[in-house]
Formats: sequence, C-alpha cells, structure tokens
Amino acid sequence: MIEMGCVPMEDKEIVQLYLDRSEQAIVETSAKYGNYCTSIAMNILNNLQDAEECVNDTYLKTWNSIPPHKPNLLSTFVGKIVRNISFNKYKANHSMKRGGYEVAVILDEISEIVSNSEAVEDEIIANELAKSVNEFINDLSESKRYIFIRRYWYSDKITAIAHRCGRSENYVHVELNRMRKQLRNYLIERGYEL
Amino acid sequence: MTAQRFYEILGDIDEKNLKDAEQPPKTKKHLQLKYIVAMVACFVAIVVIGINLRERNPYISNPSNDESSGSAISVEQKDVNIYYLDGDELAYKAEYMECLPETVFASWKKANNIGEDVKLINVEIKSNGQENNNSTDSSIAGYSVGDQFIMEVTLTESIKNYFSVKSEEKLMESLRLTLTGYIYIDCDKFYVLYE
Repeated sequence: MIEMGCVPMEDKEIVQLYLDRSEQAIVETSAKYGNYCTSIAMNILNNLQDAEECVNDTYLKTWNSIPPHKPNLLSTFVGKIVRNISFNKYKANHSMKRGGYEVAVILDEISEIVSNSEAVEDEIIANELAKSVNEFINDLSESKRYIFIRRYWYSDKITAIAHRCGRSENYVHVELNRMRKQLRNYLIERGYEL
Repeated sequence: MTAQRFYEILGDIDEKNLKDAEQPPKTKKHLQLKYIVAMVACFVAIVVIGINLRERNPYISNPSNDESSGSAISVEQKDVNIYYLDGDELAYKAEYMECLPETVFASWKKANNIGEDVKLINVEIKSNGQENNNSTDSSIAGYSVGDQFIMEVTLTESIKNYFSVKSEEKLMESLRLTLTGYIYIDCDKFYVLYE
C-alpha cells in the first residue's frame, strides 16, 4: 500500500531498477501496482489468500521477465502476468470443485462465443485469433470497449462495471450479450472454427 | 475451442486498450426526463419568487405599478419628517412622499412658508473614503469606505431674503434635520452654500 504523501515512482524508473537488478524494483512495483494486481487476482479467484499468493508470484515472474523484456506500460505488463497466474490458479482450484468464482460465470458467457470443444489446431490459430479479437475490440465504441475489457480482461463483476460507468446493470448485461454475439459472428466471418 | 482457452487468448488484448480501460470513459451526460422536470421546476420557482419579491420590494422596478414615471427604478416612498419653525420653536410633521431631495425640499419650503423663488440647486454627500491603488495588480480597483459623511446643500441666494423673518440658524437647522433625517446615512456635518 502506498503511504500517505509518498509519490509513486515513474514506470521508467521502476523498470530501470529491474534492469539494474535492484530489489527495490519489487518494493516500488508493490507500492504502485499492488492494489491493482490484487484486484485483478481477487476478481478471478475471489479469495484474498490465493490472490496475495498470485500477486507475490507475479512480482517474482516480473523480476525474471525484466530483462529481457523492457515494458513501456508496467501496469498492463504486471496485469497480464497476474491475470495468467490467477487464471492458472483458478483452473487448479476449479479442478478441485471449489466454487464461488466470478470467472466461472465469465467462462459460461464465453461459451456462447466458442464451441467448448478441444482441437489441436486451436494452439496454432491462437496468435491469429488474438489479432482478430484485438481488431474487433478496436472497432468498438469507447464505452463498449471499456465494458468488454473490464468484463473479459479485468474480470470485473457486472455490478462493478455498471457502477464505474454510471449505467444500470441491465444495460451492461445487454451490451455484453450483444458484443459476444457480434464477436462470434465477426470471427466466423473471418473463417475461424470456434 | 474451450472457453478457458478463449479467456486466455483474451489476455492478449492490446496494452493501449488495457491502459485506457483503467479509467471509465468520459461519457456525454444524457439529460433524463427527471432532470429536465427538476430544471423546469427550479426555473418556475425562481420566476415565482422573483415576481413576489418585485411586488413586495419598492426598490425593484415594477412597470405595472409605475407607469407614470417611466423610470427603470422606482423610488422609495415612506413617511418623512418635515421640520419647520413654529414661531421660534422647531416642530415637525410626517408626510408620506417619494424619498427624493427635490420632493422633500419642496415640502420643507411649504411647511416654512418659503416661496418658489428659492430653489435647491444641488445636494451632495461627501465622505472621507478613498480609492486604493493596488501596487501588485493594477487591474484590481480598491476602495476604503469612509467613516465620516458630509452633506453639502446648495440653494439659490434668494433664501437669504427669508432670514430677516426667520432665524437663519434655526431655519437651516430645520433643513438639516429634514434632509438628513430620511436617508440611511448619519451625516457628521451639514453645509449650506448659496449661489
């Protein structure tokens, strides 16, 4: 947590600490992005202990990733790491039938886009698919893009999204439903077998 | 493709979009009906209050009640004490009139049996207040309100013709009490000039 009156360090300075192999890099990352990472992990895991464990793993992975990586946006860099680690944790927990996850609801929603069948070629097309998804997102309006990303990347609850963008839950729910259908059609039109 | 795999692929959303989504977009506020109704209600309330104040406050012009003057600002009307010499003694009577120096002076003349040859040329209230020059910012004008006020009245010299009949000192005292009595400023000094 950032102490009162403490000014967070600029991203470039923190990255330089990683490059210099200074352990102060983790302290500064934790001070600036600790809450950010914890909120992402909590959205996925709904368990503070698991979330904190994932956030600590995130610092370690960030330490091991910089160098060779030199991210321009440290927030999204550590955000992607904590999202992956947390989701892996979710899958491990889910296999043990531990319930109560928001991400389980999100996966149900995503099931409307994909067939839920496993195929070997899925890994081959993953990169191309990611590009097409990004193109679809870029074509969305600013407000729709915000709703989509908050739901399917940050794994925010619909209630939280509605509150943050000053809309009703029903509005967010309807918009997400429309975007899922649009995304499915968008990808099918581009030849993806989902 | 499984939902889990697709969720992982969604993790590769462009960094710029992720960064933008850290804060909600600034959306244009759409005026909802309830806000429009509230705004209209406020407007109506302001108009109604304004009409009531206009009817109750004599300082605010009311064209419907002041058609004769055609003035943009109505003049206060109230009881004004008109002082006069009753023999050698000062007396006064209250008269309801417009609070204008000319009107009050006319009543004073009438009460003291002074003819139309005497006219009020000027009434001026001076104070020791002064403008301040702000040395740091020339665009700001300052003014120190004074604590002393002087009323300076200029009459035609023809008033002197009446001093043989009435005591000048007492006549001017009655004028002082009359002209300084109906205004809301306590005048420390009172001068009469003759022209």
